[in-house]
Amino acid sequence: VPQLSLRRILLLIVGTLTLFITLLAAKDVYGDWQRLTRIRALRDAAVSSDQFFDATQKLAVERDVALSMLYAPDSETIDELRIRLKESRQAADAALRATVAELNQYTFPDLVELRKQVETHLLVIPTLRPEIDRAVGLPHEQRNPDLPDRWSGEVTALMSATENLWIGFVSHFTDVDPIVTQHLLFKHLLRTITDYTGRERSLVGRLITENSDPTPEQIGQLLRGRGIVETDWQMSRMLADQSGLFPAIGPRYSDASSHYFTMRDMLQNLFYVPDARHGATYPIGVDLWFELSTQASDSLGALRESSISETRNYVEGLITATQREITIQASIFLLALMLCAYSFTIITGRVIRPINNMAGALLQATRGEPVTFLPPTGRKDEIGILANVLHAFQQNVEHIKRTSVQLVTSQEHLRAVVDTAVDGVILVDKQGIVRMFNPACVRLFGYQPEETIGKNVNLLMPLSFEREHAGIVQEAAGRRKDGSTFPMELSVGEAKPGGETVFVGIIRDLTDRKRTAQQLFQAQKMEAVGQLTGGVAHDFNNLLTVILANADTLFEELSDREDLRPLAEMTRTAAERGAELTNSLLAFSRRQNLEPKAVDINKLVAGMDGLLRRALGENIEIRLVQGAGLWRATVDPGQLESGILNLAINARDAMPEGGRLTIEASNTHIDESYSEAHDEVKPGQYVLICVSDTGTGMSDEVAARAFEPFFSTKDVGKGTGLGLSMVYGFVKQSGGHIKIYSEVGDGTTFKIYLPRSSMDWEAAGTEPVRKASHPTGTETILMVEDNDLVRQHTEKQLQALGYNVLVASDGPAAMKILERGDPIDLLFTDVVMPGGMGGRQLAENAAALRPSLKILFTSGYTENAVVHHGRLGAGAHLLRKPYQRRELALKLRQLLGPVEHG
Amino acid sequence: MMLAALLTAALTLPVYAAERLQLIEQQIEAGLIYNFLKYTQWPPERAPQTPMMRVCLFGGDPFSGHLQPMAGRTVNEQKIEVRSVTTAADIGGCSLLFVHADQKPNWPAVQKTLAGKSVLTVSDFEGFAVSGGMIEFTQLDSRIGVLINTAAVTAAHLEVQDRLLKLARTVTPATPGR
Repeated sequence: VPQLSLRRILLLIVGTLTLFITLLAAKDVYGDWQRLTRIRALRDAAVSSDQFFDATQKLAVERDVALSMLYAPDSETIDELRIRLKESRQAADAALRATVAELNQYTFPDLVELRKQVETHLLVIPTLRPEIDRAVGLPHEQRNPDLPDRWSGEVTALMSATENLWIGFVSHFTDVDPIVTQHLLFKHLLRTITDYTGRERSLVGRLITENSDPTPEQIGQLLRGRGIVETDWQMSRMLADQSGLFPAIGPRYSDASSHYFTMRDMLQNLFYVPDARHGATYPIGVDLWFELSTQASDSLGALRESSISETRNYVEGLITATQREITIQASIFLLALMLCAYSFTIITGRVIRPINNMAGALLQATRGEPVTFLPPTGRKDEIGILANVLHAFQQNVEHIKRTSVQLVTSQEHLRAVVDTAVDGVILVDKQGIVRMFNPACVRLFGYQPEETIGKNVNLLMPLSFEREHAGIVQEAAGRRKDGSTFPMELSVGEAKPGGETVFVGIIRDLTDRKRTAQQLFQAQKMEAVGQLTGGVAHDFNNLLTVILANADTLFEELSDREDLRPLAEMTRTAAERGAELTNSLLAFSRRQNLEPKAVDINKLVAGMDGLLRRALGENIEIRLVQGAGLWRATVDPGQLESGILNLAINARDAMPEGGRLTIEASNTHIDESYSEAHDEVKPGQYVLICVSDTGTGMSDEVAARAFEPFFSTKDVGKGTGLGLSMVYGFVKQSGGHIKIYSEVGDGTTFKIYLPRSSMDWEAAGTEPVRKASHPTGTETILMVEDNDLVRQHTEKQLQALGYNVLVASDGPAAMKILERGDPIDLLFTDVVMPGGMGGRQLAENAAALRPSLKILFTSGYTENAVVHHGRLGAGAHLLRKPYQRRELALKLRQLLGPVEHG
Repeated sequence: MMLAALLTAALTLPVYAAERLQLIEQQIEAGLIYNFLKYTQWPPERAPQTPMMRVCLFGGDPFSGHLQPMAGRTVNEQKIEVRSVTTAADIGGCSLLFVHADQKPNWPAVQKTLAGKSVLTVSDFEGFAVSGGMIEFTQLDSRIGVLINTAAVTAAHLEVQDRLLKLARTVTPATPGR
């Protein structure tokens, strides 16, 4: 299929138009050319026709002159006419020859017969001429009387034949132009008039010559001729009017006809009335008659000349007009062609090229190149409007492009804000369907975006989201994928982007904050309680001092009063017990008088062995583990002993069925990250004393309140509720830190952090905790920890060390990850976990699934407590909580092997 | 039919031969007037105001009305007018003046009036041509003849062509005209 471009269509149209115009013009010009040829032929024919007329005219003159001679009354007249006869013969011969020659150029087949007739008659004429010459020389009575009639008849026959030839000849041209045909007819009528007036002249001349009355036949002949002539005059006038000939020949026509009719009137009574002259001589002489009739013929001749020239003018006019028509048509044709070419150029230059240019510019514009659609001169036509519109479009497009870039940037910014926000951002529509779920939400709820988007927000929070929370900031409960709930701060805003009402929720996990607040609250409570009890105990001590002193005095003074002395004794004992109590309270309130010194804890604990065995009884196995290279701690040794004893007694109470008590000491240091998590602890080097039992353990709630004074789970009367409070107060007063790790049913570990002695500082160098670079790795570690805080903390630490971390909050979750088949190099799991599957069980299952998997346990319990308690098999790797990042890093590399550099 | 009608009409008319001949002569003479007009040239400066050939009959109509049909015809592209004049004052506008034979006595007076005017004078009384008239109808061998006084013609600043001279015989007046 040919491509129909605008240019081709235009070419097609212009080409067709040109062809059409050319064909039309060619047809017209050809037609006119033919017509011109015909008219030229007609002009020649008219000339030939005039020669015919001339020839017959000349012949008529010869005839008349010859007749005049034959009828001449005397020899004088004959002599006069002899020259005229000669002249007329020569003229007639010349005219006839010219006519015959003229005829030779026409080869119409129908003229052959007519020509033959003319030629036959032509041959007779020369034979009669000598007869006439002879006859003229003889007297009238000796002449052949038939001669005039024969002569007259022969000449008339020749004229008739010529006339017929002329009619046949002219008939070939009657279709060229009707006017010319009328002209020719007009001249034919003139010739008829001339012919008949000639016959009348001849006859009248004969009558005058013979001085005889016309016979009735002659009168009839005259009347017939006159009738024909009069009719011809009328017809000729009609033709002259119709053909438009009259205005040109009018005066001559009028003269000729006036002359004729005057002549007619002149003879009115002479020859047309029988016996008009009554035997007398005709009143007019033959020579006068001939002269008069010749003069009338002259008038007729003038008319003929005039009409011939008029015909010639007319034909010439026709030729000129046709030539002009051809010229005009050719000019119009050329003009039309030029117009075609011009319009083609104009349309190409002013329309197609600009459109092509604009299309090119549009193409450029789509590639983002700067373009102009039209030269800056500008146009006001359709092309100009189009260019303006395109320009406006381009501006729009560029504006949109800029705006969209800004929009994209702004959207990316918003996206970045949403994606990197620590708080969860959630977008919910009017129906409560989740529309957006940012990565923080994934962390908070455990759902992936595709799991929540399109679902009702009730999935995430039990309360109706939009109705309950709109416009306010409040606490709410969030529900994780695993079904657990967590406290969160939820602020909901309402927006109408694009007319649709949506709600934006900002979710902040309050777990940490609550815990911190709880811890702060606890510390503040302990502080307040301490101050209160301290104050009370102090004053109470003073009172007891008085009571004790007085009781002593009374006891001594009442030595003779056996009845009263026991009372004093009782008072003293009661006061002493009160003093102990207040001392305990003072210890808790950290107002006891401590005598801190550099203490070798190994030695101190070892020295307590006998005391502990006595205090705990035989049911309980005691293990004392001495730390290697243990630092010395700055602490009041007496109070520390008291504290350890207190803890041991607590342990004993937790193990009514018996068990094992482990006391171990080790060096540790608390780094900044741990310090940040437990704000009451300063980072630094500590000596750690762990006191672990295998007893009943305690719940989180109990553990949280364990250090409060007078808080006791023991039966009333079994304990004072001050034991742990005292230990707490003492450790805090000593600049240390105490922490409880306990699982119900698994036992409890108390960890006492005592600051390293300054003497040791000097010995070990004065370097504080250094942020050393730790060995790192890129392996994947699956970390399992039930405590959210610890899990998050550990995850961060592992990531900081470069490891790829997968996390699980319990054994089953970890197994799911393992079963998924992700490449995992090491399982790092808490030993004690809720949910039925402990760390050991998990390790066994994992090892069954992946024999090559490295396993590292962690526990708040000491290695000895856990491992030797039978929870883990010997040879298992354990990282004690709390561990420092360096310890974690070293332990991991120990298990995973040296870092592959590569 | 026409012939029969004419013959009947002619036969039934009680016309005397002399009168008939007279009539024919008048008709021929009237016809000749046309030829006089045709072959005479009037000086352009003395041409009458109106482009007309005015044929004036002075002292009556000797043509018995046979000149009348000529009125309205043209000669040399000029219309012919036929009118009768009775006073010398009217003569000035005439192209051709036909003086009635009865006016022979008045001829000298008329001639005076015509002095300096280009008027072709024609008459049929004997001696007209020789007495200063220009064209005179006469009888030659009992046929109509025409005498012309070319001197008078020339004197009147008129010109007659050969064609006219062929119709006539030239006469020389005994005493020059005027």
